[in-house]
Amino acid sequence: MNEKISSLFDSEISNKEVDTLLSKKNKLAHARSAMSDYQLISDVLKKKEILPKNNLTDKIMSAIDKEPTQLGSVAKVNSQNTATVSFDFWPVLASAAVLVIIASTAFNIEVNSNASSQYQILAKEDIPQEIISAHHAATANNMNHFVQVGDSAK
Amino acid sequence: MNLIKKLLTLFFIVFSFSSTAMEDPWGILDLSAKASHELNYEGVFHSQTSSESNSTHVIHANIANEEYSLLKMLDGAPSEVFSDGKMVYVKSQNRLTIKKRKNQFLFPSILPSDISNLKENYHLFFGEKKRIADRMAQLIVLTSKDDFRFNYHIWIDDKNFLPLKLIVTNNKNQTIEQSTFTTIAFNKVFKKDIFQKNIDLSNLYENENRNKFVENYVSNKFWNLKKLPAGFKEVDLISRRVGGLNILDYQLIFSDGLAYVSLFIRPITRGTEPKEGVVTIGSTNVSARYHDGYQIMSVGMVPAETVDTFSGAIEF
Amino acid sequence: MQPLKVVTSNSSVYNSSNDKPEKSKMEIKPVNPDRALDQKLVEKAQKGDKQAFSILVEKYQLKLYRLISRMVRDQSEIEDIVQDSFIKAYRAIGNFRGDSAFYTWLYRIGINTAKNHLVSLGKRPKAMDSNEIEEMENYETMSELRVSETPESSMMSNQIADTVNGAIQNLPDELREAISLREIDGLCYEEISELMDCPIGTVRSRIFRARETIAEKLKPLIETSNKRW
Repeated sequence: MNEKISSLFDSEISNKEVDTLLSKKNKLAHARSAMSDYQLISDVLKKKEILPKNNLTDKIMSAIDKEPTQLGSVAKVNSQNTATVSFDFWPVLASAAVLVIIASTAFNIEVNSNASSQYQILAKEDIPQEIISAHHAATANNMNHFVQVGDSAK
Repeated sequence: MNLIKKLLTLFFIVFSFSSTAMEDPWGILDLSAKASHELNYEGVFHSQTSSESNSTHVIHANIANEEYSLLKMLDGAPSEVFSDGKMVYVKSQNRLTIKKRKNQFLFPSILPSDISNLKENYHLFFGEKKRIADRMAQLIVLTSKDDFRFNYHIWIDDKNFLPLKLIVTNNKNQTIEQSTFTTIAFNKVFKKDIFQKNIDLSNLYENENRNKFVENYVSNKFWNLKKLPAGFKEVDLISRRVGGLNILDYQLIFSDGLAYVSLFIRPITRGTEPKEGVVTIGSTNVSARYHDGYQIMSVGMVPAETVDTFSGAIEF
Repeated sequence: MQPLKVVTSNSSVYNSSNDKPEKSKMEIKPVNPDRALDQKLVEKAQKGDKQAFSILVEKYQLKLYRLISRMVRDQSEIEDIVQDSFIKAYRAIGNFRGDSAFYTWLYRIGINTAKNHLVSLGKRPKAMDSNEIEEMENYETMSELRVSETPESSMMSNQIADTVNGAIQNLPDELREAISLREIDGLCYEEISELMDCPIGTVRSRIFRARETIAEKLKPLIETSNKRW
């Protein structure tokens, strides 16, 4: 188990081993503590500033434990061949308890999680064709998009 | 006299290549942009998106400093596009639609006239030389400096700098879209009337300009834009009446010189559920947000994170 | 047309007809193992596994802490911002699509959270472009910056450094070499196994044993102090 943690720290661990590690819920606190020690050793060897050992991870996870569980699009990695990565974009998995909270990434907008739970999750069929047409009419440099505009323009 | 002027322009373009490229590799893009507007050429190019693949016959001419082009799709439903540099006429399945385009047109006229924005947002690499449509072409690769845009691979004619092939890739080197000439011939002389004869303007079925557009309705700008992804500038604003009523929706268009994003601000009608999220349709990503009675949607051939940032940039 | 020597915008000089910069090839490049692991953990978090997210927190909380400390001086404020950033990241994890690396995404959240924090305190954050952010992330040397240095924390840092360096020197050669190649030279296990001419499993084991030996020596130092240094 501990050797796996050391490999996890180096990101030199197979997907199967990650699954095994994560399945041992009662050992994860120990895993994080070990990683924290390894980080300290790494910082010394790399001559980085040694920061005070903190319990920040525990504090963060206590706060996150109070958050609703997030479910969302899954980024798929081809685990057999790490030379390629491909992604599928799926709609959010059906669940009566799913809350969708949209937060911007680089330029944050604070979104009230209660407000956003009222909104439907965007699906392809929700996008009006005239929006796509209007965008392509004004900007497309590919003939296929542009002529489709001509067909469907209103 | 016109012919002499044209020959001199061509000579200048060719002669300036070696000096320009040596001092400023970006200069080649300037030459390429000019070439796509100034040269006479006729050929066939093939365009491919994630869902469609079509061949198009193109005739392009610069006659007395006026630019004309006629594009005719060779696959699928018969469609023609004619442009006289000011208006664009799209004739498809017996419908004629007129659109007014600002500063940007179809392949091979893909490069902006001002490349300074490109320099800020892309790295430029020179790549292989390769034969395309029986012409030698130099590959120029514009790779994104950040995660907000895709990468552009452009093969330009070695002699006259016209773009002959374009491939757009994402950050995983997957092809998003491509267009490439399969045959092309230069320096033909075209008469103006060949461009107009296929478009019967007396038989106008539709004119978007007449009824729908309320262009640049600037006085009604009730929104602010928070920080946008680096390199994108607002290049156009189009207002449209919603369903013929006196309610407007807006299309803001942003560009970094190559990539374009449209940001739509549309009032939500009573009984409609607001939508939020990000989806991909072919090569286009769409992000939707709801804000204070308006459905905000951003659309573009850019990474999902970029459209998401755009749709989150509106405040009022 | 003769081949030309051209200068790219990155100031590398090469002959256009012979050299082929990698990005002009349409090949798919190998995925960074770090990024692959992060994607795996994100994927699990998106399926509802909060513990997977906790691994990401542990992995990046110090890095984010260092980044934020370039903008904010107070230690408790830094911790608050780091905590807020991870909470925001968790809330948005469903929308993370892997177009960028997880830590790139996280750092942008961190920068923005820090800026908002400064603005809320009436301080104007410095306008930063992506080059400056990158520079901030790389700007870490012992001699240049201290997050919040007190005589006590300085002494503790020195003791830790001495203990680690002493423990390294006392390691068996093969363990010392393995961990040095990993931490100082930044080589991956495969590269280390080639250099040391041993299987990857042996590399993994040696690095682990080196770490455990050093961690044992550090335990008394860390356990004697429960308060902030």
